[in-house]
Amino acid sequence: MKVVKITAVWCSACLIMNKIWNKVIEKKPIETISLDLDFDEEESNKYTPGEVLPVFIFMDNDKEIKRITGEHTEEELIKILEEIGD
Amino acid sequence: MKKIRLILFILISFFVFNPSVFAKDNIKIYFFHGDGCPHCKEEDKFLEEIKDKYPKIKIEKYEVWKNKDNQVFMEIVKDKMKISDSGVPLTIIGSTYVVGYADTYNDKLERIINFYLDSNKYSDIVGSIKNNTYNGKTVIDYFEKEDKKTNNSTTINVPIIGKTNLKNLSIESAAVLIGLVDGFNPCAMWVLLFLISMLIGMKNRKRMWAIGITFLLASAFIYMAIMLSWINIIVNISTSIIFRNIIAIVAIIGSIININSFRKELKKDSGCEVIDSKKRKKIFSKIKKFTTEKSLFLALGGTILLAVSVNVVELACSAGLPLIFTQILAINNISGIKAFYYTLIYMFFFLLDDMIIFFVAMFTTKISAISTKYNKYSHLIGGILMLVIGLLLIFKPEWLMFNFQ
Repeated sequence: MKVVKITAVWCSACLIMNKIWNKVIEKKPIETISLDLDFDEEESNKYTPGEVLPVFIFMDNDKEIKRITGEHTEEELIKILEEIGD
Repeated sequence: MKKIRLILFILISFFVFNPSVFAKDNIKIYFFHGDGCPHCKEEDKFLEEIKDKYPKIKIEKYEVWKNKDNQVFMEIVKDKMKISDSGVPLTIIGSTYVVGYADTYNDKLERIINFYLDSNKYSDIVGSIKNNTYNGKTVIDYFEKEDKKTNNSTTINVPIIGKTNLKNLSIESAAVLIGLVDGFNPCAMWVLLFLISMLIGMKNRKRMWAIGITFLLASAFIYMAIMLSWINIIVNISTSIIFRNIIAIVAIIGSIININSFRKELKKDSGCEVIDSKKRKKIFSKIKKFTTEKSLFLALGGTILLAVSVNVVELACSAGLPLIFTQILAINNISGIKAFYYTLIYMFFFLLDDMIIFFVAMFTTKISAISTKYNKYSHLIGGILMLVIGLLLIFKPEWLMFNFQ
């Protein structure tokens, strides 16, 4: 199970979510691939990031299970991880 | 027949030799106007309308754009009454004069008429200048003195600032409020954040500061320049009522758009809208170029150009709010230095969030950001503000003059 996180340096929501995500993985360690929309353009385009940033794509054996965008609380993210984990 | 002539003679002599009776009843309004001057035409219409409401007023009109004698006469009157403001229409009632006209002046003009009708302070200064009986004494504007006294109730003691005129305070608070809400919307925030993320990476701290501050100042300057030129256009645009209603409708449409985008944002997660990549790339390459530019001069030049282009886009993106603010200034007939003062306040609060993010980033070399959750509220508040002011512009423009009598 891993998470692909697509953010951008110019996106204020991404700055906030980076901090929140760091707290989440302290509690529930999970492999995270962080991509920047501009600097890692090819790589991030593979995941078709869409219109709203940040994007969190939850993958299981390279298959996308779930995707959320924008700002969420730490609790929400942990709950999602728990749901997918079981 | 003799008897009639006698009675007539007594009657006329009664009026002629008793000026106070004459003065008390009839008030003269001297209306200096220009043939073809739109504001004059509007005021002329107003004066004609109030003629039947105030039977005791006599209106003397002097066309001064074409008629040379009238022009000379007006100059003499202005010189003697120490009237420095220029331009027509010039309206003089007793010892009070009003320069310019907009429909929001009607209330004041009627107050002047009533003041002189009710008080015994009326003296036909212009009349005396006309028949060379003017005694040269300095003219005391009784109405303004009275108006100031009643207006004193409209100065309040603000804790820190002390005694302030409520009217200026209201315009200042409008500048703060609308500036803040306008500054909050995220139109150009992404450029600033990208710029800061590039600046933080720079080793040369002095250059980092120079570019960052140049960007903020250039943004403020271009935004203000557009607003000030806009103010000076609409303050003396001819048929101001029609123009004001157009701006009101633009404001109401703007409010519908804003409130609509608030409703949409409620449903989806708040995050950053991805700007189309071509545009993004263009701006990023510009930023990369001048943050790595050898010559500081070229780097700053690039920064200024970027700030100008970004803020012209930003102005279009949030044009509703600055437009409304300039209309409030126009209604209060504020232009020139005073308009500059109020726009400066507007700009400070408009850039406040950008400045906070910039300075925090420069000192902590970490970019802090304000959650995008609040963006949708700036759309909501901006929308409500535009709706309220738009409606006021149409139905109650004088409320926007903040006259608390």
